[in-house]
Amino acid sequence: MTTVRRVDASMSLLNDLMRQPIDGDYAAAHAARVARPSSRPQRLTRSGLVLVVAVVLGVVLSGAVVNLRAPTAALRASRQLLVDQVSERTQQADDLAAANAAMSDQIAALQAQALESSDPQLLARLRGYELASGAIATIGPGLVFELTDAPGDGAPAEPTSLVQDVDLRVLVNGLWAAGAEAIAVNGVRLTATSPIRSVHQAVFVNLVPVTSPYTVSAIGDPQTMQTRLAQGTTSSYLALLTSAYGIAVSTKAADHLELPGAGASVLRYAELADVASSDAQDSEGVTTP
Amino acid sequence: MIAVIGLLLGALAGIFLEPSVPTVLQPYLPIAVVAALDALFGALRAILDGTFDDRVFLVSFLSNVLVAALIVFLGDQLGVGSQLSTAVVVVLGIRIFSNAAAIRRHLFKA
Repeated sequence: MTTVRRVDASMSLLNDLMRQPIDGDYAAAHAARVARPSSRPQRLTRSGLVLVVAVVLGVVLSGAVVNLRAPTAALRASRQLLVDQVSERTQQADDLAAANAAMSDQIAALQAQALESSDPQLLARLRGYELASGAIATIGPGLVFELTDAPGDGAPAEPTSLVQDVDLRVLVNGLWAAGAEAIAVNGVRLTATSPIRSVHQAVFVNLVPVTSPYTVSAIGDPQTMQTRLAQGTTSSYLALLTSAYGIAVSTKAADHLELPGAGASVLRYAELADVASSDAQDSEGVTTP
Repeated sequence: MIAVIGLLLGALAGIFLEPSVPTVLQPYLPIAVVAALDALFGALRAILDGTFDDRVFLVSFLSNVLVAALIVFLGDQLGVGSQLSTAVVVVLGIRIFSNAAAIRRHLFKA
């Protein structure tokens, strides 16, 4: 008769682990101590040694835990560096934008000054064009729309409950169609080349990020605009936004709206004047960035 | 008991002193901490069994931590560091669980 193999012999490692998780040393040491108690001075020295070793181990253990939990100093330093760089560059960009605006004002003033004496008619025409293209600040009566994201209770909001770029585009196009003369979204003046689009969850108007509540101000005759909006599809679109997605939309007429200018227009296309017609055909224009 | 008190004192001191761990040792910290946890649970069970011994506690604590770190170090040198880490974590995890079960039986008689 051969020795009987245990059914779970292959599991002996697991069995050992499960049955005897505790170090057998505890029981052995206990038995030894009971059998042969140590003398008092022996115990004292041992206690001192034990205490020292235990304190050292405790420091090492909690040190390890603290090290694991806290982000390393290098990580924090590099993060701080990045934050500094971001704020520094933002400051630089703001300064440059301010300088740019000041320059534009100066150029416009000089232009007006020069034209006033030489060609007042041209200046008047230029003013008209600038007004229509949104280059200069405009004042007048109009309508103010306010679109607010649906309340999300702090949870990450559903994309549909946020105001999207398409919502603003529909409203703005509706306003243009209804006879608006000048439109600004959250204080950003729209021109013929201003895009309204989403990047992730942020809406960018003319490459400037804007956030909820979105205020769309349109200068024009309030009554005409309201009537034409109601006749078109825009008002039903806004009603749908409110009923289906919980986006709050409010409208009010304003007697005095002040929209900022979009700044001096950039020269994008130019054509040589006073040359032979064949030459003008060939040089298709000089573009500047 | 002296060992436990000493360990607590040391742990408090460590929290306030925040000793820096050399970068070379950083990869072995998680395993070392798990091994230390295993030793602590074993000690708690021994206390409840009435067989606790300071010397055994410290020796098992130290050897647990060192052996665990050593295994991971060897694994790193052989290119199987993450697998060996998993093995160590599994073994220590089982020990912690069964020690916790024994402690539970002691405390709640269930």
